[in-house]
Amino acid sequence: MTEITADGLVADYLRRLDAALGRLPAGRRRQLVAEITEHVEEARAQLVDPDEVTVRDLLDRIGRPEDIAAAALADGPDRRRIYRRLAWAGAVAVVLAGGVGTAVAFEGHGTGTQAAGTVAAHGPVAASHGSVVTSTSAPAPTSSTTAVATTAPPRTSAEVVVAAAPAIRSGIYVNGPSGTPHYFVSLTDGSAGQVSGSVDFLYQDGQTGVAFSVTGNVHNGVMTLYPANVQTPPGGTASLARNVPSVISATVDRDAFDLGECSSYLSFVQSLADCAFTYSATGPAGPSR
Amino acid sequence: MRRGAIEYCVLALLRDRDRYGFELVRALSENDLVTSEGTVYPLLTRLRNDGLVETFWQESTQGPPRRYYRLTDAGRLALESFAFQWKKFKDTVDALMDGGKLT
Repeated sequence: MTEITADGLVADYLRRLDAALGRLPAGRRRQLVAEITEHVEEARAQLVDPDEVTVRDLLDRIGRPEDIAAAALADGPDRRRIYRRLAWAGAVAVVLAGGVGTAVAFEGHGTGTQAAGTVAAHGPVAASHGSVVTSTSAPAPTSSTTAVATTAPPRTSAEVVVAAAPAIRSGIYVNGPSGTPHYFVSLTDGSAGQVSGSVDFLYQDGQTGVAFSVTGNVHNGVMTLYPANVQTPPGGTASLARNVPSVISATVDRDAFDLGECSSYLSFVQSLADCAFTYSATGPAGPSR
Repeated sequence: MRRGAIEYCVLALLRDRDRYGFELVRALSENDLVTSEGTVYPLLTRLRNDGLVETFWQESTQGPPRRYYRLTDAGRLALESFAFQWKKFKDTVDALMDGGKLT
C-alpha cells in the first residue's frame, strides 16, 4: 500500500514537471524529464526506507517543477535541434543506400556523443566563453549531410517491382518503445534474399550510435547476418556491442525477427525479450506506449 | 553570481573523473551549492550544448545504464580560465573584506 502511494507521488511529480516544461521545445522537454526521471530512480534506489515520507523529501529536494522550468527557460533555446534533424535526414539516406557506411555518416555529423565525441568537444562555444576558446573545428553539418545524400541511388520503378515480394521488409526494426533507449536495426532487402544494414542504438535523448554493420541473407524464414565494423568508442565509453559473433542467426517473420540470445553481444540488452525486433513505421524512435 | 559560479563547480567536479547525473547533482546539493537539485539539469543541457561537457551511457552493476558526463577539451580550457579569474576576484574581495587596501 505504502509502495503504491510512493509510486503515485513520483508519477504525479513527473506529470507536473512535464506540464511545467510545456513551453520548451519537445526534444529538450523530453530530455529534461528523462534526466530527472533517472535522478528520481537513482535517489529512490538509495533510500533505506522508501516510503511516502522519504520519497516526498526526495521530491522536495529536487525542487518545484515551476522552478526547474524557469531555470530551463532562462538557459535559452536548444541550438542543437536543427543538427539532429539533419542527422536524421542523413541516416535515412544511408538506409536507402543500403546501410553500408552508416558509421561514417554518423561520425561526420557530430551529433552522437559516442561516435563523434571529439567533434562535439570542439563545437560552438557560447559567447560567454568566447574569450576562452575561439577555435571551432566542427564541420558544418549541412555539407556532410549533402555528401551522404548524394550516395543514395535514385529510387526507380524497377526497384519497387523487384522489392514487391521481399524476404524481409526494408526499413527500421526496433526492440523498445518510444522514449526508452533501445537498439534498432536498419535493414535493406536486396535481390535474391540478400540483406544489408546496421545494428544501432537510440539513446534516450534522441542521439544515435552504430554498434556494427551487417550483410547477409534470408532463406526459408531464417536470416543469417555477418557482422562487420564493430564500433569501439573512444576511451571510457561503453561499447554498444562486444564479443560479437562472426555469424548471427535470426528467425524471421515478415515484419519481425528474433536474434535469439543477443544479450551475449548487445551490451545494453537485459532480457531475451529484447532480442525480438519489430518493424517500425515511425523510424528508430519506435511506437509510443 | 551563485548560478554563474555553479556551472564551473560542475566542470570542476568532472575534472578528475566522469560522473553520472545523480552523482554530480548530489555532490552539489550536499555541499549546499544548490537548493533545488532539478535546476542543475537545465544547466547540464546548456554546458553540453556549448560543447563544454559531453554525455555517454555506461552500464551499471545495479540497475539500468547510467548517463555519464565528461569534460571536453573546451570544457577543460573554460575551467582553467575561470579558476584563474576566480582567484584574482577572490583575492581582491578578501583584501577589501579584511579592511586592506587595493594594490
